[in-house]
Amino acid sequence: MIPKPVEDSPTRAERLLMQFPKRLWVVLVVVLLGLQFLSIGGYRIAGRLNDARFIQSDNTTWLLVQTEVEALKLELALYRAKDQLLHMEWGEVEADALRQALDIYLSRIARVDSYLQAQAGLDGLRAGENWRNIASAADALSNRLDQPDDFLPENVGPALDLAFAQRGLVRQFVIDGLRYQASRSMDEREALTNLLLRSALVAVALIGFLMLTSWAMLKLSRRMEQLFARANRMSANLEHTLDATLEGVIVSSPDGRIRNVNATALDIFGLSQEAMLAADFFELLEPFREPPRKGGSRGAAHLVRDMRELLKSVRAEEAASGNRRTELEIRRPDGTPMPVEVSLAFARDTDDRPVWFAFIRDISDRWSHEQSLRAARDTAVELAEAKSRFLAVMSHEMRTPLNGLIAALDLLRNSPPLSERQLRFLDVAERSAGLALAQINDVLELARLESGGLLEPDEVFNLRQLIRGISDQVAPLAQLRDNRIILDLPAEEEAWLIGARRGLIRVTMNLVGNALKFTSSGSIRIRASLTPAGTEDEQMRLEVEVADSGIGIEAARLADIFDAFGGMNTGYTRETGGTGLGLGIVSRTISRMGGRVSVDSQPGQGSVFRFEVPLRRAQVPGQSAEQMTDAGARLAQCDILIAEDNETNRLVLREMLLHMGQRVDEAANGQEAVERASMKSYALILMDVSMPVLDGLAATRSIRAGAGPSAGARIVALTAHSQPEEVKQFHSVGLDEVLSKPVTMLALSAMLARHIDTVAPESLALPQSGHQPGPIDPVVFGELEILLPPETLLALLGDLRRETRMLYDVLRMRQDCTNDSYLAAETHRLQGACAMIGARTLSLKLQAVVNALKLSDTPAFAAAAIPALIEWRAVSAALDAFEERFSSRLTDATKLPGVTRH
Amino acid sequence: MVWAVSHRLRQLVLTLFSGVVVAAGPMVAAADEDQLLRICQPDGQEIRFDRDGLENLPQVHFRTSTIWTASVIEFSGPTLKRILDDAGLGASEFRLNALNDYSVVIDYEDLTDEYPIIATRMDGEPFGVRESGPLWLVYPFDRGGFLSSERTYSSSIWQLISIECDP
Repeated sequence: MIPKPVEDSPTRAERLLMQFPKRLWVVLVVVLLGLQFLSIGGYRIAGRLNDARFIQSDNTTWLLVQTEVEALKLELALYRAKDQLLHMEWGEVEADALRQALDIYLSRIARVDSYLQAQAGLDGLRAGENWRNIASAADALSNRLDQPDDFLPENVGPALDLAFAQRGLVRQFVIDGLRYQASRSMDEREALTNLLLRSALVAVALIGFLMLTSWAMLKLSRRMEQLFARANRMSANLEHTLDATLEGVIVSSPDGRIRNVNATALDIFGLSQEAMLAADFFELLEPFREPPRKGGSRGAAHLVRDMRELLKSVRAEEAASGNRRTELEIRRPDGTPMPVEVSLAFARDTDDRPVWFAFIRDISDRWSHEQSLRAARDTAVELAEAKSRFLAVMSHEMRTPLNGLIAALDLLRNSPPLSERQLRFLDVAERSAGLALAQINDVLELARLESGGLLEPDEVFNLRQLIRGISDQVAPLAQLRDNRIILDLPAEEEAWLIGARRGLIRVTMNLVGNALKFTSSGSIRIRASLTPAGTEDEQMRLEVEVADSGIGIEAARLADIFDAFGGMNTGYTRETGGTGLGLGIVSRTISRMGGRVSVDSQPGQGSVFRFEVPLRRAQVPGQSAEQMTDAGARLAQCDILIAEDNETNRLVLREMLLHMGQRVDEAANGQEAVERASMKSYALILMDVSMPVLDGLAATRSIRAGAGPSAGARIVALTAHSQPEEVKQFHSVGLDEVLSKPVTMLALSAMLARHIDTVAPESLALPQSGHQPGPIDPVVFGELEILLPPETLLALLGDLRRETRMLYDVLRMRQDCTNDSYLAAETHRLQGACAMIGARTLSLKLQAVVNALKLSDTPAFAAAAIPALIEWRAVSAALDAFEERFSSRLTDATKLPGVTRH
Repeated sequence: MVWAVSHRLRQLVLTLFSGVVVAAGPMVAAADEDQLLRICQPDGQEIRFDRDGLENLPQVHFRTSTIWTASVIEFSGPTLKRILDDAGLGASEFRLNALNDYSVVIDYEDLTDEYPIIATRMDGEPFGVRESGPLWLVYPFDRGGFLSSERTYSSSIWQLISIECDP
């Protein structure tokens, strides 16, 4: 980890030296062998020297030489005795002197004999002929001279002859002895010299070797000193670094014993060094509580648990390669929790034992910052949501009384006579009310878009017709401001498309409306073009450009012009009567449709708004009924369950689905739906949200939670009202999609196509008759006409009329609506029925009544009931017309009797 | 030469004044042939020892081999140191003379209460001139070390007859 300085890397010689301590036993053996050799040599030298002492070379020489001397002395004594005898000087004294000389000589012979016998290497001399002759001569001499005094003289002569005779022998013996002695000494000396020389050589070698060893030791010790100093320095530096670092560092062995800690770690855990070293690494890191983390990352408890197990296994190294950084909240030994960030590193120490390094950082501050940030964000989001919810609710609530107001104004207008002046006031009032309603609708639309909930079902439409319609609609306004509208559209047969028709109308309408408002005595050019997009043939890209020659927009405002409330503070808006929400709605609608919008503008030069959206090409529609049949036939046959409490609605849905070739079961409430779903596997369940016994949400939850055969079925909610937050809730309980009532054939078949494995219907087109329905939507009603046998439809309408009249009476009479759940349920049922037959407006108005009833809000109830009653009259009139047309057709076409007319 | 002359002179003196000397000595030997050792004092007086005189002194015994004898022998006799002390010779060096004219100079410092001894007996028996007697200055050679050195052996004079102070 710490790079070694280059100059400190050992040379080859040093590396050899480093090997030295490991080979120390070799040195020891060599030295011991040398010493042994030397001591053996020493012992042998000592032995030799001892031998040399015994050899007594000087003494030997003396001893041998004295033999001849004393032999000669004896000879001399004999001569003298002979001389004395001759001269008659012989006496006792002279005899004694002779005897003494003999004794001395014999003593010498005895000593020499013993000496030769005792000394190694000289026994050869003793065994020699010479010495034996000498010894026998000495015996002969002693025989001659060991005589009494009287016999001595006569023996002197022969003794002298003997002595004279042995003189040469003795001489030769001495010379031989000396030669013997000399050669013996030489051998000995040579051997000794060799021994000494060898010992000396060994000693010299040993000394040399020891000197070399000493030199190596010296070198090594210096090197060691250097290394030790460096290690000390590094260790001290490391320790200072660790002590100075802001992270706590703990070094632990795999069994959790803590080996080392730094000062910061002590601070973090609030322990003394001793307590820390006695603590268990894992217990210290045992998470007190895991902090909430982003999804995906594994928890700290896992980490510690895993770590324990991993550390025991041999694969600790592998574990160390992974990312081992985590945040957790530990409990300090004093009990206080502390959030820390722990990162782990694995290593092996110099003894190859595994060690873990834990780097621990106190992240209390960061944590509290994060938490406060998170809290602030949550609060902000909640506030924003609350605001938007409040706005939606307010708008919604305001729409009901506004509808009442409009209805009342309508009544007022129809109750003449009114003066000119009153009519003018009425105009103002109606215009204001209309403006307010538009505003509210815009706000609701925006809320709906932002909630991201409902996707408008795709419809087949003709682009050319659509834009022409818009152009026709705004023509009066254009005329008023002296503007010309220029259209540049694709040919009608090429302009059949499938997509979000209403969204497209909304967006184009808004852009054209804006262009008209900000332009006077100019021109508005609407250009639309279609280009193929994507690989499939039907994928198209629609580009629409709305260019005006109006006042333009300042560059500074272009940036936020599409913001939701971006237009609200401009003077122009006030001047021109816009809601200011238009462009916000435009941009959100476009983005919901998967497109994008842009603007180019220069003040005084006009503005160009452009948007492009992906759409699919539709075939030019032929006969609508056949088309529908074809489309329905293409869907795979599935089991579908309808859960709907309203009998009429159930009937209509059933007929629609049967028409599309599906198998249908029915349930009258949520409970029943759950039971059926538990017995059979449905591909799709249409679930009304508001039902008695068990509502749609609870039923969905129950089906999803159970292990029944339909637990995985697609479940589509049916509802007449879908606030953004409701949609969220729908999805959260497991609903796949939300279908708005009234359910049209188109919407239903598109939905089926989405959920059942088959191709989507390509041209389920019914001729569209604009977007402004009367009391009864002809599209919806037309479907009913196609679907239901005429008598069924008539019976259905009859029932509806009867029920509505009864309710009408109740509503008209009712002043107070507190806690009337029956009335609410009945009204709700009627509302559903109205939606079914396409009486949209009435359905909406009845919804307001239901809402008021649910809230026991008497003033709201009163305000809602009146428009509903007014609308009922319109619906009733429309139904009369339908019924008339229908019954006449019935009598013409069928012979079925018993059809009652009301 | 000097030694020879002085010896001759001494012989002469001995012969001439023997009676006087014998009468004057503290240990007067009974007969001339019984005298084993003469100690010549610086003043010219002589002390003479016969066998009894020597054997009446404290005896030291030890067994040792020698390079001149075939086996281990027990030697006994008074120590040289005792004899010199009794004689009251105040010199540091002494000359010991043998019958065969061998002589050796001994340093008083080298003498101990254990050795060397003037052996009068070998294995408890007196021994004559033929056996290198009757007096033999011996050391316990077998104790080794200095005692078995060449110098010790050369000091080991046999057929000892007189001691004199070295001038």
